[in-house]
Amino acid sequence: MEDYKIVDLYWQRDEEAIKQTANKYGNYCYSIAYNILSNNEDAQECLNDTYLGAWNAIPPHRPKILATFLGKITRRIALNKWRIKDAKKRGGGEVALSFDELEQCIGDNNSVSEEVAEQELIDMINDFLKTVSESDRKIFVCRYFYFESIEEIALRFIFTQSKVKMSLKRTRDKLKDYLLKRGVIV
Amino acid sequence: MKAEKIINAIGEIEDEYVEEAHKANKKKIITWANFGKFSLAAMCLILVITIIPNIFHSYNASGGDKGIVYESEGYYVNDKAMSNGIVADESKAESAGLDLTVNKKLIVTGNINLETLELDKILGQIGDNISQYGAYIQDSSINTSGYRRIYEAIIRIPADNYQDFLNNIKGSGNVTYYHENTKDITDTYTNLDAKLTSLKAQETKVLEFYKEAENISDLMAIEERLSNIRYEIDYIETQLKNYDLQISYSTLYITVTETKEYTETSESFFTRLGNSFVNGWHNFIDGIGDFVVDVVYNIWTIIIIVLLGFGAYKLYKHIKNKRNKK
Repeated sequence: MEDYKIVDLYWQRDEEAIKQTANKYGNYCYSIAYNILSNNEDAQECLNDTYLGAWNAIPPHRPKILATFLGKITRRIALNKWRIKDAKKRGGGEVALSFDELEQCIGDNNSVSEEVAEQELIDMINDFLKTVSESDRKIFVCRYFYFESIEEIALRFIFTQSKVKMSLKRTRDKLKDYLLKRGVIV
Repeated sequence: MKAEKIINAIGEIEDEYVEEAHKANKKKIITWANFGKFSLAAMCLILVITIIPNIFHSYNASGGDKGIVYESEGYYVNDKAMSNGIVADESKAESAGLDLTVNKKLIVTGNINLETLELDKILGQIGDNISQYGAYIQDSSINTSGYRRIYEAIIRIPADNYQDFLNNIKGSGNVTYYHENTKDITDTYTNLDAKLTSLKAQETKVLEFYKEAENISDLMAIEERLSNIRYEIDYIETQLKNYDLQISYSTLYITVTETKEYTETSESFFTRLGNSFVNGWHNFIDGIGDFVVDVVYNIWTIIIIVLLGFGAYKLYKHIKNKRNKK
C-alpha cells in the first residue's frame, strides 16, 4: 500500500493503518530499535510504542516521508529505553560507542552550551550536513542516526572499515569546528 | 552526558538525509567476475518488467470499455471516456455529494494525476479555483525531474464545493489517473457523540457527589473519577473535531506533470507499438546513462582489479618462462 493511503487510514482512525505500517515498515523500525537496544524483546516493545506514537501523532500531523517519520519516532523511543537501561548497566552497544565518539569530539575542556535551543541546534546540524560530501554525510547519518556499527557501514558502502573510521573522524572534526564557531561548543 | 544534545538533534535532522542514508545500501559494486551474471539477471528483470504489464495491459484493453482500465483500488480515465460520459464512479460521487448535505458523515478523499503542456497556466487555474471555492493548500511543492516539472499539492476543499472544484480541475489538463474514496464514518461518529453525551451526564452527576462529599478520602476518589471522565471527554471532543474537519473539508491530492505531449490512453495497436518503440528507446538511453554513472562510480575498483589481473598474468607468464628455461 502506498504511503499516502496508509496516512489516510490514520486520519480516518482506521486500525488497518497500524497493520499496513507494520507490514511495510516493521523491519525498518525494528532494525533501528535493535541497533540501539541490542535486545529482541526490547526492540519489539519499542516497535509497538512506535505504532502507538504514530497513531497519536497522525492526525494532526501528515508526514511527507512516512518511513523517516516512523524511524524518528522509533529512534526517540528506543533511545529513551536505552537511557533507562543504561542507567542500570553502563557500557556496551553502538549507542554508547557513538556517545563516546561525539564526547571525545567535543573535548574534555569543552561542553555544549546550555543556551542553545534544541531547534537552533537541529537547524545548525542540517546546515552543517549540507557542507559535507554526500558520502561523508551518508556515513555520518548511518552512524549517529541509525547507530550502525562500523562493520555494517563498511559492508553497506563497500568500503574498508578504516575508510569508514576516517570519514567519521573527518566529519566529527568538521562538526566540532562548525559548532565552535557558532558558540554551541564552549 | 555532553553529547546528549547533539545526539538528540541528529535524531531530528531533515528527512531527506535520513532517507538518503537508508537507501545507500542499494549501491552494489560491479566486478568483471559477476558482470555476466549481473547482465543476465538485469535482462531477465527488464523482460519481466516490460513484458508482463504489457500482457495485462493488452488483456484489459481488449476488454471492451474504451479508455477505462479498472484496478483493484482505482481507475484510469481518459478525456474521451469522460466526454462520452463513461465515468464509472461519477454517479457514486454525485450521490456522495448529495449525502454530504444530509446527516451522513462522509470523508471524501480524491487523487488526481494530470498532464499539462503549460504548468504555469494550470497553476494559475488551480489558484483561481482555490479562491473561488474557499479551498486552501495544505501542502505543495514543485520538483524538477529531467526536463519536466512536477507539481504536487494537497488541497482541502469545502465538501459542498468538492465536485465543482474537481470538475474544473479535470478540465484544465489531461487526466491520466483519478481515484476517489468515500469513507462513511456515520456509525463511528454517532457512537462517539453518544459516548460524549453520556460522559457529560456522568460529569454532572459526579460533580453533584463532589458537593455532597463528607470526608477527604471520598473527595479524592471523586476527584480521580472526575479527572478520568474529563480526560475521556477531551479525547472524544478532539476526535470529533478532527472528524468534523475531515468531513467539512474534502482532501484532493493533485499531481500535475509538465509534458511535451499528452499521453494517449485509448490507443490502437499500432500506436501503442510505436509508443512502446519510442519509450523503449528512451528507457534504453536512460539505462545506458545509469550504467555509465555506475561504472564511473566504481571506476577505481575496476582499474585496480584490471591492474591486479594484469600483474598476476605477467607474474604467471614470468614464472612459466623461467620454468621452461630450466
